[in-house]
Amino acid sequence: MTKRTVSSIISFLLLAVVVVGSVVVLLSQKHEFFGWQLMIVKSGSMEPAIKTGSVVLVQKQASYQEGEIVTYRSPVATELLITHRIAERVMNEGMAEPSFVLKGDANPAADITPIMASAIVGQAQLAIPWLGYGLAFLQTVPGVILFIVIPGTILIYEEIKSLHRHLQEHFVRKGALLMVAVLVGLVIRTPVTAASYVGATTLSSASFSTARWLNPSLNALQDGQTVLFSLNNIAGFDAFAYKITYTHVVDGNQVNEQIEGEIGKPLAQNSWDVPNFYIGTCSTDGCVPHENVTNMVVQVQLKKTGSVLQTLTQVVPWVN
Amino acid sequence: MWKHLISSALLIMITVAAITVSTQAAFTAQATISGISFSTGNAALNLFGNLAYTNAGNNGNLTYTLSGPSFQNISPNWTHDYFLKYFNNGSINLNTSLRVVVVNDPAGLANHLKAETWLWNDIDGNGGHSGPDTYSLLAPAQTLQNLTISPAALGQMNVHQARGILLRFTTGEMPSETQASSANFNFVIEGTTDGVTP
Repeated sequence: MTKRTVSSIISFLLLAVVVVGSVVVLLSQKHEFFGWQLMIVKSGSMEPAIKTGSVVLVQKQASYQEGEIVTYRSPVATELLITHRIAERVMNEGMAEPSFVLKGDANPAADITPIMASAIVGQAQLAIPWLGYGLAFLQTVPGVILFIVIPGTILIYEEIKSLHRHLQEHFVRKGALLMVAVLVGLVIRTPVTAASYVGATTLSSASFSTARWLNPSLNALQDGQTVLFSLNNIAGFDAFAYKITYTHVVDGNQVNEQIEGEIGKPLAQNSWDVPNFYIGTCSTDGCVPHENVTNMVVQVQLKKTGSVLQTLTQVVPWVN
Repeated sequence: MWKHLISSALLIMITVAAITVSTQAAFTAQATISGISFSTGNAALNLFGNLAYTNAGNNGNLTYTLSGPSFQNISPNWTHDYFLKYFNNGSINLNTSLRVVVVNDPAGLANHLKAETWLWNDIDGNGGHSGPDTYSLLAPAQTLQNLTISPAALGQMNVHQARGILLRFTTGEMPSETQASSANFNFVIEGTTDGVTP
């Protein structure tokens, strides 16, 4: 194998490293490159899907769906990038964009705060295990010295020494220099994402029940030949049943009469005025009052969800 | 010849610049070039079913989900203390917080019930609330509704650390329509590695 062939092979390999390295540098910039970005995963809450120390390739998408693994900016610290799986996609009423509930596969609980689509950096398209450890080493002092300083110093020395050498050898040195530049880019540009751990424990179904601290009241009275009544402090009830009983005389006989009904009401409404009830008999020919009315009693049963919770009773003195 | 000289000079300058930039980045205090720490482990928080214990090895009846209490006859200006203990049963430190989840609340009691969070140091470890025990305020009183969106910070829990919490529930003035009503809430203690100091 001739010297020229060896130089060609070295040139080809260096060119390949430069091309691949350039792609890595461009993708690992803190800003996305045509929607793509490279991240180092530094924790294991997405295992086994994405192992600790993996490098993930993240691509910006127009929309995201449940089950996809995405990288997003933490709402409490926007410089923190987290890579988790979308557990639930929620379309909120009145909001222009959906929100997402995220969860690490290895976490027992979902992430605390749902996030908006605008906080998602992109979807994880590819995960390469272990590569992150190598890139992380490049970001340490020993890594910089080993892969940047030493090769760079050798490169400068060789370049000074070889000023008069052949153009092809110069091209090999240039390829090596470009490789150093690529490694420099990896040192200072590759962002890091966390697969953030979340745990939770729950005090479940703590029950709180309020008392009734205001006493309901019934006020019934005669108004001419009618009886009417009102209720107060009845918030918390959703209905009431009423019954008006009295006795009157018909042809010398005592006759018992009863007027009853039920009214539904809003839970929050605290008072109610029930309209007049005529004490007599009405027909198309007109109304005839009952005579000698006695023992008039108004009874109201206060209800909630069909159950009688309280009964109020009042005797109404009647003036015939 | 000149072309070769110029290109070599450019190569040397670029290499020197590359070395300078990378070594400067490596030796500054900026966290981006101080190396990445990788963490593996699991996050697990549990509640103590038995408050008289302080660690997992003491049969504290650790559980992920504990049945909540039942408070009755709540009226305006009501107050009630509720004690609980939780434990970091995982292998990583966690930043913990307390959040409320509304299970059922047709009358909107969450807007009138308040919770104040205290750190309870059960010094004698007996689960009791008197004697040498000490208390310090973690989060001031806020409505349960607020706690659904703004969790109360409980602080960092190191691995295998137990912590006692006092929840002081109170009410102020309450509208009449909240009488004879009921509601159910979940109180969730969550832990995350965000912001944790190793």
